Amino acid sequence: MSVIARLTRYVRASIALAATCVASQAASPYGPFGAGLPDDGYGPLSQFPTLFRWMIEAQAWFDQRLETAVRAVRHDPAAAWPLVALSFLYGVLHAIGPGHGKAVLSSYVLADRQTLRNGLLLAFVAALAQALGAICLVAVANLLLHMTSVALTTLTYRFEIGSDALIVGLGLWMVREKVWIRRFDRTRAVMRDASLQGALVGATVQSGRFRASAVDFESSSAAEGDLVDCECGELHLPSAAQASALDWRKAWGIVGATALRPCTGALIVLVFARVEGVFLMGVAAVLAMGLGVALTVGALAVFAASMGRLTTGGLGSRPRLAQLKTIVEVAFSFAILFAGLAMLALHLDLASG
Amino acid sequence: MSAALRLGIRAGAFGLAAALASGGVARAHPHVLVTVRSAIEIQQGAIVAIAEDWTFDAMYTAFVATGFGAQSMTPSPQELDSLAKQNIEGLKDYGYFTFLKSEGGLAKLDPPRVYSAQLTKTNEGDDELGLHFETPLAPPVAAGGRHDLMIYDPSYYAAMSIDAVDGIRIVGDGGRCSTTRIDPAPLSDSERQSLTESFFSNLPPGADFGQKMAQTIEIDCPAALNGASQSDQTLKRGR
Repeated sequence: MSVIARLTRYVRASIALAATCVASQAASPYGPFGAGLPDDGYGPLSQFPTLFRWMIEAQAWFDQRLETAVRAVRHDPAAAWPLVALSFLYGVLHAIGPGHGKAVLSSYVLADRQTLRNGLLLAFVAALAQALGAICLVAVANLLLHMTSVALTTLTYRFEIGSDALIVGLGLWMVREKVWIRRFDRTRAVMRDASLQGALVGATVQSGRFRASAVDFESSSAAEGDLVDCECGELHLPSAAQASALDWRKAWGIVGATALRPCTGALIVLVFARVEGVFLMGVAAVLAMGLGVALTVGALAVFAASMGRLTTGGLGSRPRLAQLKTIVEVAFSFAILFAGLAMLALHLDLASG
Repeated sequence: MSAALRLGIRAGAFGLAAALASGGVARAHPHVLVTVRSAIEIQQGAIVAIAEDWTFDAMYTAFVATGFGAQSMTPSPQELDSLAKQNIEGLKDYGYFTFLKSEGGLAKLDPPRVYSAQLTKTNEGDDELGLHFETPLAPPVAAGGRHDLMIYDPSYYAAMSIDAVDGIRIVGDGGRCSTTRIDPAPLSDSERQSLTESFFSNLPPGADFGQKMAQTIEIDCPAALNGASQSDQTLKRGR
């Protein structure tokens, strides 16, 4: 079977998978009331009912405390500190639940074998972008344009569709990179791993291994310090672990996808703060929430990065584990694609028509 | 395609499928706390309607009411009416969150004939949105025997709690009925009874999380209540 046919089959299968899962959700994505989208995401945590329930109850408790805290700030500016602290804790806890781009971000960190530092950086930027997104949305839509909550909700719904599209795009890009290119162009794949494409001039290729004849530092992003001198008379390219620049094109995809999904809780706090006349306090609270989310998502990203590192590092040089590396990369690239498709299907309501 | 590649693709698909199938797209973060007061209306030995008063928390009320009523940020009566209509219409697909299980099964509810929304001020000076509606049972259910009433949002977007004082009342001819409030049982793996969950709503197990958090009101009416309506009819026929 040709590769096109095979890939078409996979894409069709993934859409069918997404649609089946969507069909099992009888509830509409809009939620029961017109205002405020429900958070969505994957809930493997629901497999631990006691923990899940504790978390839900804790979140409900937090909601009530947040309401009290925002109200308190109206009377006493010093109450801003408890509000910020509470919001931070709320962010930490909330991010453990479904949503907040955790699945996609961790899958990406694993699939692209990001370093710890990059994973953490990405998590922070994404979480803060999400907080800023919520603040801008309320500032513009509510403060300036006096949009109703229903109109606001429709707008966030459309943003979510955009976000899903970004995730699908990212997934497609990564699948292409990991599967297609690897399948067809082993050499290019190896060179991509080295991340120094521009530096290799006149490489000779021999059955998957190559030797660079010269290195051109001027037209590449590499620097002389990137090369490893083992004093063995040969120049060595740094291993993938050392070439650790974050691919900002993909990273912006993730940041953008997260920023387009403002947290409903943040929106509610911001609007309430505005009604109470303490909008800027609401902004501070939501930024604190973003930091809390960053912490939780960052922790997960660090975990994912460590797992990814496990397959590269010293272990990566062994052929068996190199296979494991391939499996992980491909599996998670597909996971991102399928996740995006499933969420897109849900939002576009494909199954129920 | 190499074996590793194939395995990778299968692993990714399987893992995601497992995650999706297990929890579904879980949305169990409540964004609104609703206090529920309900009244069961019994006439001629049958439960004919359920009247409910829901009060939304101040923070969510501010969110819902925003953008309405230009200057004062408070919705006008007409805007409140349209809010009420919108909520009721939205709730139709969710069975109005009201589940009454009797011996004969789950009661079917007709769309409410009467509904309204109002804003009440709390002690702190905030507004709380109140939604009032009455859903008739179609058909009415014989009152005698035991009934379980649960009012909850299966997706748990709304955390509904039955008011401690006014949570449940019986109005009409049900003077001899008693009500007991049962709090949700602590969760354990054995309690995830797919049968019970699916009985109450059409959602697959796991997606119906709100049911686990919901209180149950047990309504016990003497069986003679049914007989009362029959004897009335016999009396009429006799004349």
